[in-house]
Amino acid sequence: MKKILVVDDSPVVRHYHKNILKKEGFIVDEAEDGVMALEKSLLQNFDLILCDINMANMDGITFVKKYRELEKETPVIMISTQEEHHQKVKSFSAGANFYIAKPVSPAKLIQHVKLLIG
Amino acid sequence: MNKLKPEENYILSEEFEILSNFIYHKSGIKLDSSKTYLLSNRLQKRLKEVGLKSASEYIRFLKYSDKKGIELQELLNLITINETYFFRDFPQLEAFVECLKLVVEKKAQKNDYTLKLWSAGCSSGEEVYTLAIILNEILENVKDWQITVLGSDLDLQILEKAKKGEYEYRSIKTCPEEYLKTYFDFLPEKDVYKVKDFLKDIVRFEHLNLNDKEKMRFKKNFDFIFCRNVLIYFDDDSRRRVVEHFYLALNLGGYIFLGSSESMGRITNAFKLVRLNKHLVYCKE
Amino acid sequence: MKYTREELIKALNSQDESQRLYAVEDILDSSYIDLAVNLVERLKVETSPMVKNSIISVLQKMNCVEAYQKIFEFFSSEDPFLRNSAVGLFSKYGEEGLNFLVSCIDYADKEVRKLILDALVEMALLSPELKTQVLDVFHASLHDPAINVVITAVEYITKLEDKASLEELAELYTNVNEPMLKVAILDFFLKIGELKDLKLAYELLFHKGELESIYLSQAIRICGKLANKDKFLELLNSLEDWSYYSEDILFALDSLNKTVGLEDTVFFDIIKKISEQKNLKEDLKFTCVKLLLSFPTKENIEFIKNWAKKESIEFQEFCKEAIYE
Repeated sequence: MKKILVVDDSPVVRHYHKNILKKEGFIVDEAEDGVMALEKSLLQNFDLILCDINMANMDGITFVKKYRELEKETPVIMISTQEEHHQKVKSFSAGANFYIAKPVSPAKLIQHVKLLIG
Repeated sequence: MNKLKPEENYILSEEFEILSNFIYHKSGIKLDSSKTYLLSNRLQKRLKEVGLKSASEYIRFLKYSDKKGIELQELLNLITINETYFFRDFPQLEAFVECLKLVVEKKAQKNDYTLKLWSAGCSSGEEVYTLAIILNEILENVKDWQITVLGSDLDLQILEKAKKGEYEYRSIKTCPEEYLKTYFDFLPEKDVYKVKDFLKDIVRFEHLNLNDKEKMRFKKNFDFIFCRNVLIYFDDDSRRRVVEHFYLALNLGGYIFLGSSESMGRITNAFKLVRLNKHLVYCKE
Repeated sequence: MKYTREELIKALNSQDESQRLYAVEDILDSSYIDLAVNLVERLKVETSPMVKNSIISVLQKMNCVEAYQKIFEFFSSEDPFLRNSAVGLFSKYGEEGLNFLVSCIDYADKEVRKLILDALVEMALLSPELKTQVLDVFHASLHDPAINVVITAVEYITKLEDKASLEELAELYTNVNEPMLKVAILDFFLKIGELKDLKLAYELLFHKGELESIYLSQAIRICGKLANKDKFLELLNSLEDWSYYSEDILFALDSLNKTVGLEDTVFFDIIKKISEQKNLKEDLKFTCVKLLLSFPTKENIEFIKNWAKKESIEFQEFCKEAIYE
């Protein structure tokens, strides 16, 4: 069973994504900001990380940067309300694999997840 | 039959998670999930003692009514073990050894044979002497190095005990057997183990309040700082200031160690999280 | 030691990182609140993460109205650190901060509007006397053209436990077809609703007959709270695999236990089945034990004893204690 980490400061959003993923058979863990995400993802292996950009303590882009610096290749999908081009560019430069706009439909989320980890 | 009455309070896992998060935010301590049961029981008892019915009520109390932080202190005491002893938190010391080898290699390449370590909040000195032992064991040619292991504490009495270097079996028993012979003399008349002089030579103790801005600004050029299970008792502002001073006190490429269940990320992201084998450590870059 | 304004500003812009760090702290310790403006300016160009963090921490304690506009501009920054910092700062500035943010609530950029809500909810949590005014803003935001702002407003109304919003949210649930919004509203009902409110939530969930799977977690929990055993069991039977919903199931059982008790063995069988899951979270194991012991039959106690043997020492200790009690 594949394991996914959902990173977002909103419990509603985490809940929402978790529900979608659980139904598809994934095991889901949560983190409310980049700091917690970094600590969790370094102590256990995930198959995929879903990450918001705007979070307190450590935002998503900084998280991905630091995560990649530690030579982790786990795929990352950025999920954000931010539509600006420069945010997408920054996300990909930091090492994200996909960028989807929030709110995301269940079908779209699953489509992207399956593309990355089957 | 002892049926649990519906109105009787017990801490549901969700509530416990809320409380864990709160503790994490306040003190940086991550509650180990394997300790959940024992802690949950203690917490339930505490709830009864203070006359509150649920974890949510308790958190509200802590947030808005516990102005002097007295209850928070109680709570932290419940969840932390304050005993100090030799070679405490062995895995973390293994991580330290990895870092030490790196630092030593880099310094030797530059012909810099100084090493400065600081145990902040050293209490009766067990950590200080532990570090000194590790240095003696790991460095190939320890005599070529100019080493200082500094132990600082707020408590004058405890510092006197540290300087003496005499320990009962209780604190010593975690010290690997072979080191006992090498680094200690057993004094049967007092039933204590006394640190040998040659080890004391590289160690020094200082009376220091970590909140003393002026004194802290004089600390410089450390390669390693240990401040384990000390900062959890500080408020956010003081904690941040102390860590800032630690940052300035460290050399580039130096490492800082908090207690393994404390989270540096909560305090600052200025240190770099580095992976060394299976250890995660914080480095000043 | 007392420094002059000029000395502090000079040190704040020094090439030496430690000088800048000292300057930030010394500014806080001084009485020159207006230097907050200089701190904000420095933040724009500062490269050291440590100094940046320090400036933010210090600014949180310096409520300087002259600095508000500059801090507000951070909401539109490309740098997430500055955006997040601005949210945190305003949340500390009490009524003056609130008035300023309210005056900006119709800002064109929806991201900024969302960030304003972020700041306001923190503000209300820190300063309960501002809660009413903050809730007014959240109510208005339920009609925001951007769906994310609406969802955020719902979330924060829940966080502030505003029961008065109930009808409005029920209407929103019916009228707006956005799953994430519905999830947020269901969350509201679960966290704040009384029995009659949960009945309403139940109607909203099931009125179309077939339940969409995205709402399963909450449906299970709501059934638990309503002590609707039949629907609860029906939902369970519709699941292919319980393991993804263990937490929700246990939550529901706990609710059932608190209201009507768990005397039916079918519930204990469910708990036992969940306890056998591989990788069951530690805290859920604890919940299983507590629930089984709410009706300490010989079978339940035997089950716990046998289970404990396969688990960690801490768990065994806990079970021993719990059984003894």
